Amino acid sequence: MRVQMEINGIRTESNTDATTLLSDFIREEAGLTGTHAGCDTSNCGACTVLLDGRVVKSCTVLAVQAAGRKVTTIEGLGDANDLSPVQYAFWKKHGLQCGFCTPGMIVSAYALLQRNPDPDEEEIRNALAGNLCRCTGYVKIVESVRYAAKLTREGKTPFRAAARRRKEGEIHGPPGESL
Amino acid sequence: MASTVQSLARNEEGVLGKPMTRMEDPKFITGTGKFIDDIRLPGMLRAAFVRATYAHARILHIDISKAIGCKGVRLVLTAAEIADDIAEVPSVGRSKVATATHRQVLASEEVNFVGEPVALVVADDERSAREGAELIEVEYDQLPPVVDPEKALEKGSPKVHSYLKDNVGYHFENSFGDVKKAFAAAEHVVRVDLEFPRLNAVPLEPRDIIASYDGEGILTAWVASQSPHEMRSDLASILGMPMPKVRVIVSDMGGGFGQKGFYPEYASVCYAAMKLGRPVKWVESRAENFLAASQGRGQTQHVEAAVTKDGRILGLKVKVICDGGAYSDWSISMPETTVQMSTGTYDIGAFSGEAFTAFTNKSPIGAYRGASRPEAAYLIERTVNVIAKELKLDPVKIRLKNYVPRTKFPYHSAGGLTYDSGDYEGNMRAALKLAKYADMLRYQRTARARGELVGVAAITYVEVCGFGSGYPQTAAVTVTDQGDVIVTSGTTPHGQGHWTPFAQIVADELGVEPKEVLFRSGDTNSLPWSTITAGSRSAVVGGSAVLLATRRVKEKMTKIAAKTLGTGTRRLTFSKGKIYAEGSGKKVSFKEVASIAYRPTELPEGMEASLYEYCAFAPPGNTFPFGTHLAMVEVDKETGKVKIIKYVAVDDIGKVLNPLIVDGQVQGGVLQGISQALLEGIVYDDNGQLVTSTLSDYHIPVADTAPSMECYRTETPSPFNPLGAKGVGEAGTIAATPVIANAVEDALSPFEATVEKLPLTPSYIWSLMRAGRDRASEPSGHRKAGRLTRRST
Repeated sequence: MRVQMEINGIRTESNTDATTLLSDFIREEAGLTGTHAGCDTSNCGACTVLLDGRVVKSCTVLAVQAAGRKVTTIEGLGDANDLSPVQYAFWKKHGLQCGFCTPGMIVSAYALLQRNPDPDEEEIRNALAGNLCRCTGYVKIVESVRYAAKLTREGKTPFRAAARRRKEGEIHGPPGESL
Repeated sequence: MASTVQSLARNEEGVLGKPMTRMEDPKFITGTGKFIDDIRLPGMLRAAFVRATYAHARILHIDISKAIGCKGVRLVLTAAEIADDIAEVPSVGRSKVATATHRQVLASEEVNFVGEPVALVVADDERSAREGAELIEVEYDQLPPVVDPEKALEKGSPKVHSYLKDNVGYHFENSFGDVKKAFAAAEHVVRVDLEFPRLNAVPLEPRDIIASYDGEGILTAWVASQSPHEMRSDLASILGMPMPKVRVIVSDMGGGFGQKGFYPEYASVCYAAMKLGRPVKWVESRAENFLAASQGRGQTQHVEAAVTKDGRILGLKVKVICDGGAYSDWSISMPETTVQMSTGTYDIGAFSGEAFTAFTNKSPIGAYRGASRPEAAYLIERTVNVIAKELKLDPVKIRLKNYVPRTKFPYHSAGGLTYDSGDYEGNMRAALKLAKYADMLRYQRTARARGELVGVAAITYVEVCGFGSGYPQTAAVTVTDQGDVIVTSGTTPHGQGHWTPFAQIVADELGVEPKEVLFRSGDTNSLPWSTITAGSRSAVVGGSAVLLATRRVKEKMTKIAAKTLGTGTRRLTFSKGKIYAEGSGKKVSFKEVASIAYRPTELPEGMEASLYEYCAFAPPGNTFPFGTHLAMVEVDKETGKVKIIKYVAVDDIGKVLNPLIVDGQVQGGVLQGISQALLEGIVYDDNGQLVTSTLSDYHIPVADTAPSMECYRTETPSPFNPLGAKGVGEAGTIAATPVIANAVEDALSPFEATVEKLPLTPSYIWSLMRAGRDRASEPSGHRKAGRLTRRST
């Protein structure tokens, strides 16, 4: 069947089976592989995306259920030259190791800050309870989210300034380095 | 042992040892990493496996006819189809003490664990492959399953493999000093029995591979592997191919923790790709990972300690039985290291140890973060705790009394190993201060007075890391004619963050910025050889290889610079992108020297053009990181649930390359260690059926119940590598389990409970509390005797 949705602001349309999961649609039809699948049972949260602004595990949603709606994936939050505060904070505070859970974790953290710009540790931990990370022990993830909240509240965007400087040839190296 | 390693003098103005953020992160935080499942090749097919549904059974018949006719199915493989072309899975090789098993990549006559691959279906897409696999019918004749490892070793037990004389997969014994005399002289003998369940490492990315076979007869496998060159050897040997025709590429990898070694599934997928001439991808489900990926730990431990009345440990007897699973590879010998490390940080004069690995009808045992050392630390630190409890001694004082003294290093342990360096007492004393131990005890007293079950514990662990003297790690360093620096690393990352600390090493040596150092790894075509990324050896052995290769490049550049500047080579320094002649004020840019290196006519006499150096570093001995971890827990009286109130880690991992990364390693490791104390345990039923096959049944920690923790360090450099590093990847996982178990036992002291098995689930703790209450209500004359044997002297 024909399914159409808006993913990261881009209209995506495809012939797909009625049983296709949203996570598979995002990965296979839209070609956005930042959304990962790490379990069969909706435990891990590596597939977390926003559906009309709300956090969902995209492996528990059928693609047809997202038809006509707006989906935001990790790729929609920012790229290496235009990082969102949450992405930047995860990087600066070492909130990731292997990086597999990171996209889902960042999307959940982003959604938390949308609804609560100044969460305390308990609120952060509760908001991330649907996202498993096997590497970090969550300590630096919590630090990352607190830092992202601070940046957002203060309206600071060091990552954007750095991107500009890179464009102007002042910074070299991997995207985002030396911010 | 004399050190043969020239240590690295740290440049205080340099970047090594500083907390740099990781260079590889931008791709992961933007969702542009390339994990295997993110790679798509033209014409790529998908594979799915049919797996054994019985733990032990004879295969009578496999009917593939329905699957063959299924829409989209391109190929079905069973043992019969591949028998002529494919060799057995490599077993333990030439080891004299381990028992080799015969394993086919697809089970041919018998299946030996639930989940063992029986057939492979390749189809146009994943769904067709899975549907095809469901249509394959396998007829079995059940055999008696061997499930309990201790019973497996008894005479008359059913055998896992009919061609073997018994179920002994591995046997090891060692002893030191006069054990008889020590036990005769002791005033007390304390006996402890412990169980450490099997665990799944649960890397968030499951196992996966893409195999592609091209017209030139080259097989390329993108595979999530901790050891690309060893993967290449295994694939080549099974597929009967010359090694140069197999190329293994490790892409981004979502965690390993020891689980990502070689698996027979990979060889089947490669075979299918070769047969079809099209790329084939296989990504397992989480359930398949629980069924068929290796599991760690799985030990039963029996300990006897000979102790004086004031708590000096005179002798230790240890027997370890490992639940080995169905087939043997190198990891079947892991309990040997458990036995060798079981004297821990203590100076014990007499020791005897014995280890068995029993074959059972379960998924094969394998490495999991710490691989044999968490079991050893658990064994000795639980034992010391029980000694303290039974002798009514202070658990910290008894440790201080028994530590290997600082003056005895390098120390030859009763377990048979040589510890490189250490200061256990200094580390413990530092930890007591940093954790405010006295305040913890005060809090506990107050809480207990309120009737709360609060427990405090402090343990000291030591682990063996590096594993490099007979097993080097490799690296190559290139400086291009443009002055770009490239590190090609033998050790491959799966979360550790190799790029940044390695760039820090190179940057300080060559006087360039870390961001100018590019990192490559994981492609068997880009290095002649590499060894496994495991055993906390990446910084210790791999990092040292990077340093030594860099020094060789630097030596060559120094000679070129000296010729260019018309000076001697002695007083040239590399700094801020330039090479300076000290005193004379002469200088030349790093890039200019790099460029000259590629112009043969301008080089010093006899020097070859280009800047590329390779190093295979083999340290003179292993490293022995150590540390003290402290925990305070509260047990809920009603539910038995454990809450961690405070956790403090004071690790000594030698010299630190990047403290930000080290903190992350410790925190992640500690949570895995806590989790194996409180949450995790693989469960098989009596028929060998796996009960814990999803993340809903097998719990790993989530953010809202994970504790916060404090991390500190002391620093005792290793003399066995030029970086002075000891390794950190496994420290937390080793330390956290005994400290949590001891703290819980302390919390349960009103019930006189002894923790004997893991995990400490609410129901187990509740049963310990109930048993304590029952004992207390019995008339005193009938109370069960303690485990302490008092000797008349």
